[in-house]
Amino acid sequence: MKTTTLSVSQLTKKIKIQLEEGIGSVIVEGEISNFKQHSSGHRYFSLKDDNAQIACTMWRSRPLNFQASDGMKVIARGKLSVYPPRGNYQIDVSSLSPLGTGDLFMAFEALKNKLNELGYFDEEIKKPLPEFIGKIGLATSETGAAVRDILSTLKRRFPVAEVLFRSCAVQGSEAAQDIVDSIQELEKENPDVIIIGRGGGSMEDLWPFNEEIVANAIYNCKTPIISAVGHETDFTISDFVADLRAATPTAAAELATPILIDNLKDYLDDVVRNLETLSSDKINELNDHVDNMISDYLINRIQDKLHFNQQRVDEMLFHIDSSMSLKLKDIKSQIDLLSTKTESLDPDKALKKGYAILRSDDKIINVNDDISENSNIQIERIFDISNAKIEKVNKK
Amino acid sequence: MKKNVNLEKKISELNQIVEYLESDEVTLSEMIGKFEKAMKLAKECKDYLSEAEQKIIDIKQKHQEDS
Repeated sequence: MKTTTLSVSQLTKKIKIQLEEGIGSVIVEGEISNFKQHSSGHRYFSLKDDNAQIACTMWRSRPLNFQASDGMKVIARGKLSVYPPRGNYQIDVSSLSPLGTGDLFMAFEALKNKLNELGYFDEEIKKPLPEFIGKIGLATSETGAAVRDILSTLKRRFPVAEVLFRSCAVQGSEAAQDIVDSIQELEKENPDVIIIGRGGGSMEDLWPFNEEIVANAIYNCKTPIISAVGHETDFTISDFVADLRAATPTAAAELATPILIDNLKDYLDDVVRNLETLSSDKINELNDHVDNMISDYLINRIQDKLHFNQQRVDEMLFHIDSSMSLKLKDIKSQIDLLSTKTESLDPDKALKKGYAILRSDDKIINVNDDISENSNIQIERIFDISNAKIEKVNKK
Repeated sequence: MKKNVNLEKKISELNQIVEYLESDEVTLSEMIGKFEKAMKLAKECKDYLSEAEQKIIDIKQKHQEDS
């Protein structure tokens, strides 16, 4: 490398580039020393280990939700920066998280109180799950029992749901940001619900789910989030901010599958049966209706017709009756007349009057028959019959 | 991968038709048409459910491909 003569500023500029761009963002574990918070609100401290130390600045705009104090072991995330006027370098710390469990508890309580006061845990802002969940987002580690339990439960209960899986780190210093990214990426896919979580572990293991950036990501997410972190007795900030908390990963999967596929199948079977019944009911109803209409109508018409015809028959009978009567009378008169005439024609009547019947050879002598002289005739009168001989015939 | 059948929409539509058919307003000719539609929907849903398999999409991969 060429060695030329540089000015102090030039050299410092080179060092600045080397540190700020060559290294840039860092995550550092160390022990806090000389922690001071100025009246301005900015915090100044050093991070050290056995062999080295480095100056740190944490501007007041950066969140610090636990009591940072000397001797505390922490993880600092930030960017290297060089301050030319004083010729020193420092870490511009963007976030600080404690490392020991006691410190962790304190940090947990501090953040919990802070967010509670900001209304992050309020029931009213918790989003209800939609009735029908067809798309489920999942942010968890791709290794471990949690993901297996969740996926197998989802598959068993409602395999028709689409599962969007965003695997992420669930412990370690990288995890919090990875979880935040996962939530945001999943939200873009518009699922009906997002499950975040992990299996059991120590407080350090679960710590990413207690980080403020994760709480904010959950708070700002428009999709309902189910938080399932650790075991039944583990409670993390994520659990409080989320719209639903599940005690276990399996419970989270159950919450995300309110409808069981078997029930859906039964429901559809019922619908089909119901449809068939509805149709046949309706058809029967209409059939009956038509039948009733027809029978009522027809019965009335037939009755009318019957009455009408009955009346006609009656009238005809009446007519017949009266005309027959007349006719009979008529005939009777004729008969009477004939009778009388007949009676008057009875020969006995003539005989009674004194007239006689003349016979010749037992044959009656009719009015136009000739009587010959010297013939024998018989004379029948009412009380006697005489034999006579004709002496003389004079034509009138 | 199977295409998205949008189960929820079909079930919702099916529900609507059944409710309508149960009401008194439906005429017989409407009924026949809607009945066919409902039976078709029910069958599609049942078929989809019988063939159901869990569809898991790797979002990380998808985003890596996109970026």
